[in-house]
Amino acid sequence: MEGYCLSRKNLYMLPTRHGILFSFVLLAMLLVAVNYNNSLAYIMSFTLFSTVSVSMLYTHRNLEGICLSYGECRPVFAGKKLSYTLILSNHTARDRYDIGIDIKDNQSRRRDFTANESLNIECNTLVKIRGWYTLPPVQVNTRFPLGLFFSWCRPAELGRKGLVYPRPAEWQEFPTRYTENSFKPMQSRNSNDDYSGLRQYRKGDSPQHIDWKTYARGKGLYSKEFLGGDMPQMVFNWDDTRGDREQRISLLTRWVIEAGALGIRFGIDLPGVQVQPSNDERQIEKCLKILALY
Amino acid sequence: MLSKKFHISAGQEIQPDKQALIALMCAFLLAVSPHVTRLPIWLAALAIIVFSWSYKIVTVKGRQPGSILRIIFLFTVILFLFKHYHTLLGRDAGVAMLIALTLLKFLELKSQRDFMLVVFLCMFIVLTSFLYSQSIWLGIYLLAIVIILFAVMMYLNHRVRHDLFSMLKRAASLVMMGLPIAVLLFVLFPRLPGGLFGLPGDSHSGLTGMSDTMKPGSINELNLSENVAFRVEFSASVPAAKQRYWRGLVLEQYQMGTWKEHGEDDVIENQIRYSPDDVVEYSILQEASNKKWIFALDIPLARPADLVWGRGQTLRSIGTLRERKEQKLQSVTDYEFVGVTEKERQRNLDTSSVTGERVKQLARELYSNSSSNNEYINSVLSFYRNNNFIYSLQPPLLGEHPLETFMLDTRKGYCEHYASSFTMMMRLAGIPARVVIGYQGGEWNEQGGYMIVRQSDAHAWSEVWNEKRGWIRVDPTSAVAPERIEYGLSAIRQLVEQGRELGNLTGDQLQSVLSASLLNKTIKDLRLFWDGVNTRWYKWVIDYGAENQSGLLKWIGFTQTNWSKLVYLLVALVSVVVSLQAWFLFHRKKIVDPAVMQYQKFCHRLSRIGIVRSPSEGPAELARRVIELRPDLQQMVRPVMEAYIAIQYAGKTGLDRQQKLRQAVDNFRPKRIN
Repeated sequence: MEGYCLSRKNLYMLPTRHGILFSFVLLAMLLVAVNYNNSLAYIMSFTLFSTVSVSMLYTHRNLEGICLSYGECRPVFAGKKLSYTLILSNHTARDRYDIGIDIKDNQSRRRDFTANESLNIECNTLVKIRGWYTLPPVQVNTRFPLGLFFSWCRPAELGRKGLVYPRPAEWQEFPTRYTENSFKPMQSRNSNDDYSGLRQYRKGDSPQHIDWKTYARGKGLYSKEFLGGDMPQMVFNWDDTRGDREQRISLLTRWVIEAGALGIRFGIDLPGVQVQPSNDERQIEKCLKILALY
Repeated sequence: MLSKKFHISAGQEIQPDKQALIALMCAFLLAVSPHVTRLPIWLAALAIIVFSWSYKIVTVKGRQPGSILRIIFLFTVILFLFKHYHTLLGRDAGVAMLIALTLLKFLELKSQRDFMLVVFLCMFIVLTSFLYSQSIWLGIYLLAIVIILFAVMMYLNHRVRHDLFSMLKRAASLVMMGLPIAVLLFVLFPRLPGGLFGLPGDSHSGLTGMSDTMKPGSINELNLSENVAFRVEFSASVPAAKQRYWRGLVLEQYQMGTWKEHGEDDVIENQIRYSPDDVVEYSILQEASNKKWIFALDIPLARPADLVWGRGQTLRSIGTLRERKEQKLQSVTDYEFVGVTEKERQRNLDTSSVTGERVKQLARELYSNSSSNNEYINSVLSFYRNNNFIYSLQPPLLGEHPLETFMLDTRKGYCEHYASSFTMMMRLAGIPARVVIGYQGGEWNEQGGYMIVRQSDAHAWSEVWNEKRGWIRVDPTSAVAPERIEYGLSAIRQLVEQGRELGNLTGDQLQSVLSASLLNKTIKDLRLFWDGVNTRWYKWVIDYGAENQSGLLKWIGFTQTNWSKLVYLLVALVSVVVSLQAWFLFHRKKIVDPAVMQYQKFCHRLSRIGIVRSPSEGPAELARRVIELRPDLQQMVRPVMEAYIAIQYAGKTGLDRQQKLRQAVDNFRPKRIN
């Protein structure tokens, strides 16, 4: 069994409003039966009573044995919606009817699912703060079969967390030491690596050759054409930024994203944490995670 | 417990729709169906109006009638009901009111709660139909309607709608699951001997018992109802038909052509002389009659505690018989009365209201030709026999001088006419005589081992004072139609229908007429079988009460029963049943993965052609090996493997994939190559 499984220990039950109303009807029926000493009236009252009592077992059984877990959850930037999947797995031979699923910030749903089947529920939450976001607790409930009893589970904290990257700041120039004319990103360029001009970015172009200045001006992606070339390298320093902690982190985040998009070798240097420059594909994730949790 | 953080969906209800409304209407009509014949006809019109209106509200999203309009409706309906029943209280008006109000509720179905409320009201309507009848049919109906109403409840509560039929199936299994507890409750729930609040006055209307007066010639058609008056079980031998006279009332007073019980309040218990060997022990299960009369066999000996003596050694109940009641009695059919008061003798000689000189002359003539009282009795009986008296179920009316007209003119009648005229003929000759009414005969139910006495077995006869033996029975009807006594009224009816003359048929002739066709016999047997089923139904289900309960507990081994013991036993047994049910419901079946089953089948087929899977071999390796060994099988092996790997390893589920795998395995029929 995986995740959080519903059992006697975490399931509760109470009559619904209809259930309470029904109990009064049942009492009135029994009074009629006793007063008229009417056997069929007795039989009817007892049949209704026993059926409803048995229905409690069915209500409980409808939830018992369902296991809840969250699936993998892709990181997202603060201010965006974090998407995640709730998996209700049913490893029993019972069909489940009319299961209500309540997750915070998500509309509640009612579903049926059959024996041996898993039910995936797509959910999302708007996240605002960087760092680990604990996925919301889940409450599962049912009023099956007669609507007279309501059974629910204690809200289940499933322990799964989603990573929220910092919100990227507005675009600012990379640190000046990299943008000044003296900075030659293509320092080790060979003599025959001639800059031959800009052309429209095409898919498959090396990200290293994208003209970020034009891009930053909002004019779209252009690739610099060279004959051969070498990788530029940048390390974003905590002291390159100004403002409070969050503003600094936001800006660093922005730079990491942009540098990553350009395919430039980059690293970050925060007080206490350094990431060596690299341009492998894990580099962005690595840096963003450090920034998210810093 | 309900965390505030959560928006609990208990409050989020399902909006009822058209299907739900139609289901609800059907449930209502089914719940009302047993009442239909008793309800005022205009309710049907109201139902049509209300139903089409509420249908329109739900489908076209029309507006519901406002509260003022609803109140006007309500009062109009109540007014009509009052006009019809002249009251709003009591059983009949109460039931009609419940039905009418439930009907009006259809106009204000807003939320799911309203729908559920109507279902509950329907349950109550069903319950009220049992106040009118508790037949086996209603018992079956009960079970069916409970299942239907639960199915409607399920239907109303499911967001993902299933068809009503699957709901019915599920509701049926739910009710069946509850049945053991219902049975335990029925058997062991403590019963109160009397009601709680007393019953409304009209609770028992519609019961008809035997009248306490007799007026021959006033009714020209006899009640031939086949309704059961009572059933009798004998502890030993069954008395012959000729002796099965069930005495109900002794009528001694004749005034204005009507026989009545004598008004004087001097009922005494007679002294009876009898041989102990002749005592018949039996128990009589009498249907509710709304009267007090108990129809004991001939002369009852002892008086049970809840009965009193009636006039002329008859028994009667203290209160009216509003419910079926069983009595254990002892009677004798061969007896002598010892002593009689002079008062009793005198009032049985009263002829003051006899009119007509011709009949008085007739009595004088017959008496003067007889040498003894006994001879006179015989000559009166002979007079009936020899003067073309006819046993008729539709005699002419008798008019002003009933006795004279019957004896000398019409000469057509049934038991009442003969009993009345014979008794008066005795009195005219100075012999004390009286009329007894009750039942005669009864039909033996072989299969059930009891006797059924029906309303159509009602009979009247005479008792004449004999100086030596006291009151002796003389049944003048037997002089005219002995078939009535031997074969019962139904035989008479058959004979009359066939145009036979009564009184002079030989035994063989009678047999040939009465044995009738095989079909008739089968019908009769079926009827008796059905009566047997019914009798058990009434005895064990409907009349089940405190007495049966203590009897049952005694049988189990509880000698002294009281409330608390019953409750303990009930709680204990119910918990046992519930635990068993819970175990049954929660016991998880070992899941057999259908894909694995198919794969095993595939491997089994492979082993038949000599390719045995080694335990460590995965499906892909196995497939490779099979294709290597038997390239010809590639076409058949590949789909199996693809489907199986897709399900087991790629995590793809779904019925269509399972089906694909099954089909592929079914198609896999390799042949051995030698």
